[in-house]
Amino acid sequence: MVILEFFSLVFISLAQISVPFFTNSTLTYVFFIPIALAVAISFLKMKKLFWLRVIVLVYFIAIAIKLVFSPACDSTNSFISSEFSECRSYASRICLSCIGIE
Amino acid sequence: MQILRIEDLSFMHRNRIASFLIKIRTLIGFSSFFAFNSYLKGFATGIFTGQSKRYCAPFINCHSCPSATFACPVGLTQHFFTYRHLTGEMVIPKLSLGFLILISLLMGKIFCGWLCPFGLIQTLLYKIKSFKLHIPHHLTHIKYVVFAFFIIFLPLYTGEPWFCKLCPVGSLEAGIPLVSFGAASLALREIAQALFSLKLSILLVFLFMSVHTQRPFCRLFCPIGALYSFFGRFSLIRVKLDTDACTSCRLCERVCPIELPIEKAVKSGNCFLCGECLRSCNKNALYYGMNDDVKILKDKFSKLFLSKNKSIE
Repeated sequence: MVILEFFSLVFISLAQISVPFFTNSTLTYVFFIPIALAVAISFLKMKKLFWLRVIVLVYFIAIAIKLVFSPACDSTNSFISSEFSECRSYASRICLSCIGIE
Repeated sequence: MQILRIEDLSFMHRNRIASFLIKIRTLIGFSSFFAFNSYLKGFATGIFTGQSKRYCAPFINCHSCPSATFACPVGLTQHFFTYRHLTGEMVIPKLSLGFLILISLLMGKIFCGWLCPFGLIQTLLYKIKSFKLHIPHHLTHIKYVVFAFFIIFLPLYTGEPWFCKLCPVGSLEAGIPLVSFGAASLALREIAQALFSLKLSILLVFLFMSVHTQRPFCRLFCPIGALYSFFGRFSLIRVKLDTDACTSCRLCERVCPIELPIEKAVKSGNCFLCGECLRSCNKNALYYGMNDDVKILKDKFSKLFLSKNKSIE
């Protein structure tokens, strides 16, 4: 049983490596599955399912690292690179909301 | 004469670096404020537009402040959600959300406790001698509603970043400096509308509340705090309680900004990891450590590999 859990952990970690090759919409779903799982674990207090919590944790960390750092090392996920550019262009403008202009 | 035990010495060693850092926490907070708002030239020449604006600060730090060098994660998240209203296509802000979730999984709310400038201001205001009020714990769930409603729902359906329109941090860090200093201040002052007065009023209410309650904005309304609190319960770094050393004197609870019994506070995702409890503890029963899951994981892996080695032998 422990070995099975260990392999599921490795499998999910490896699955993250292939994330940049998914389409934008697939990534969106991949991103939200662990959130749904975390909600379930948190609210149902599934304390006994230790390995499931570990898997969710590794899954989150892997995908978050992928999302944040992948543009620097991988050009295939141009949609994330464009998100970086969009971040910069949006954050480089004065947001008129700050001075209460509607 | 008090006898010093070997165990006490090990606790002292464990807490020595932490104690030093906690002592200079206010200094670290001010340094963070200047680091994330270091482009002072911006007040004369205009808002900073450099490469670092591609990345989010790990706390609310309004990027409209002329000296801000990083993007605000709350502003960015709302901006991407407003796309649906403009283009009809749902865009998930993976970058800002991914970054915040990563931080909360690794370090919980440590940036709220140590680096957030608005958190620092609230902490300093609370030190003013006055009557103090406790915030009932169930009210702290309001921040989840704020996150869902102002950060996701309203930007999605109205196309406007509504949290930014009311954000007291934005008023303090960007609104007031923009209408007070710089070449465009006169023009901006003229076009500032009634909403700006409302924003200033909200800011004043929170500053006033901060004198009487522990970090009211962070605990009740901060959307980043909501995200950090939710995922913070899985965080790797935690404040740990040594139940053998604890004498239940409750000194730590008097200084804890989340105002929970210490047994609950150390397990809560709301913990700011500010270390005030560590500083107050005479018995060194509290210390920074790793999540229990890490220890269990280590044990399980060691058992797994040990049993494998035995079977090979």
